[in-house]
Amino acid sequence: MSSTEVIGEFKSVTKRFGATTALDGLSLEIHRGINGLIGPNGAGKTTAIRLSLGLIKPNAGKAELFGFDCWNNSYAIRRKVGVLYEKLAFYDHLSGLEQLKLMAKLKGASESLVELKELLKLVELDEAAHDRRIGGYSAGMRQRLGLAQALLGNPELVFLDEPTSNLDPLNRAKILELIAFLNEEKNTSFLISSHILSELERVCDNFILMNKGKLLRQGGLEQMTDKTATTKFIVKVQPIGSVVALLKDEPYVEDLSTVDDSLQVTVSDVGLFKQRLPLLIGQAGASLDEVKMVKSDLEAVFKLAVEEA
Amino acid sequence: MSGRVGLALLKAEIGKVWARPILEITVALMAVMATFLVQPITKIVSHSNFSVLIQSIMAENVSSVVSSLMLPLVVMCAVLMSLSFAKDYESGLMQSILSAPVSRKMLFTVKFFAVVLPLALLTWIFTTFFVGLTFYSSPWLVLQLSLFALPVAFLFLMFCGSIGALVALVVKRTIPAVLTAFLVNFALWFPTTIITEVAFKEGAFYANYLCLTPYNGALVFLDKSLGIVPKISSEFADALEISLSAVDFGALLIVYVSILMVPLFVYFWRRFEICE
Repeated sequence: MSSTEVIGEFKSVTKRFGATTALDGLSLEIHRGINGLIGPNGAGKTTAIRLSLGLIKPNAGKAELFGFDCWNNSYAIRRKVGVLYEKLAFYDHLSGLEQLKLMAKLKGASESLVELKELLKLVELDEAAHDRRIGGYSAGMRQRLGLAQALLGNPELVFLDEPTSNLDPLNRAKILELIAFLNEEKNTSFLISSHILSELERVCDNFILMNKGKLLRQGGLEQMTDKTATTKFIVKVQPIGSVVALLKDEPYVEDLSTVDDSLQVTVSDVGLFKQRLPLLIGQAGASLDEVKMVKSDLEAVFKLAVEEA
Repeated sequence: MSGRVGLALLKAEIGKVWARPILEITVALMAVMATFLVQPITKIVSHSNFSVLIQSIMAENVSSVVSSLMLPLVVMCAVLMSLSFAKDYESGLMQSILSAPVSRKMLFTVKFFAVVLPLALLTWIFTTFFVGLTFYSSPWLVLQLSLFALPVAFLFLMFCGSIGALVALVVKRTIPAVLTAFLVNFALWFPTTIITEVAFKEGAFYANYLCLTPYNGALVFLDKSLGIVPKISSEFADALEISLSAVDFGALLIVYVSILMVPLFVYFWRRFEICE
């Protein structure tokens, strides 16, 4: 359920830790729906999440969530959100069910055992593990419990910091399905920080790309990829050999390879390539079947944006 | 609502702090120290004709047991308090709890009580038990006198705990915080081992101020509350230990605790940042 409704906003937020600037005048918007927070290690993603929850105070700028100031009114914010941190920590002497019951009490959510078990079932935590000490849980089980904890009390917004990092591909897909389901059925919004961009591409409708504490880009997938001019083409010609020979000598061709009956060309100057290709095909006496631009994906956007920055 | 939440959190914190083998170690340490202080029965027999003397010996026994428990209390309080703050900060548990609608004031209070309350209760139980071993024929009197140990233990544990928490919030790393808190508390406890009478006799310049140290002050507060006459000869009648009252020493302890606790509480509530 995507929307352009803004539920959170950072306005020129700066956060310094000693000599290190973690957030450098960061301005971004969190939309209702599923937001993907991407950026290389050290980009400031986790700092932005902590700042949203009032765990740290900005040195400058203003951060708001649901209209509340993130530092001065963090209590009101924390009533509306759930969080799953990358670093999972629980009361290890408690069982999964006891931990969930405690957190439900802290959040003012329902402590009904039926509902808590239902939640654990939703995140697919084995029933046998419900009454076992958390200290004996595997990394994957802890991740599921963390997710159940984050979803307690039907929060309006859930922060997920690397939610699938300890899960196998099958379970990663299930978690993504669950996120999409909760967004669709319960109108729960998410802010997901992850390095697995292909996964984010599948579920997110708003992306926030950060680097070195600054916002590089923000928008939907279309908007993000449109900004990245593709330089890769697939060309289908008959016969292929003579065209390959001619293209090899062109100075703007950076990479050339043949896959089955087509050519994959990466160029440095798209305009010149488009101008020269018909001429070269004519010169080779070949016939052109198809020319396709390889659509830029989130990973390409990410690489390009980070390199540019 | 917040009381219920606080109690649930306190229960979880106590379960975490006192998980095996911490409770067992503490009990063993306190038992070892207190065992040495059980009064030999001959001493009681020799005074058995005088009920007033029995009561005073009992009071001295309470004082001795509390004094013998001081080292394990100082060590365990410093270690557990710094462990509770620094480990939770480092492991991310503090971040996780404070991401729920839990106030910082509540978390701070709960963390303190989770360490201080069980230790104060253990002090009272041990005092009652070990004084009772000798004076089992007067259980009510034993109970009455050993109750004095509770507020004294509570106050000086709050002081030790404040140091532990302060170190943990500054250092933020478990092992260095625990070691530093232990060393600082140990260094502050050490003057209690100096016998004031001897220091006076030797003309040591600090002799008159020994009773003003937090740990010595706690013991003097207990002694004065129990009506025990300070063990300083009459030639030093103007010594602070003699001239100040139990209330003065109680107030002094409260001041020591407040000086550390109040700024620490305000810092944790208003300024402390969780950025592990």
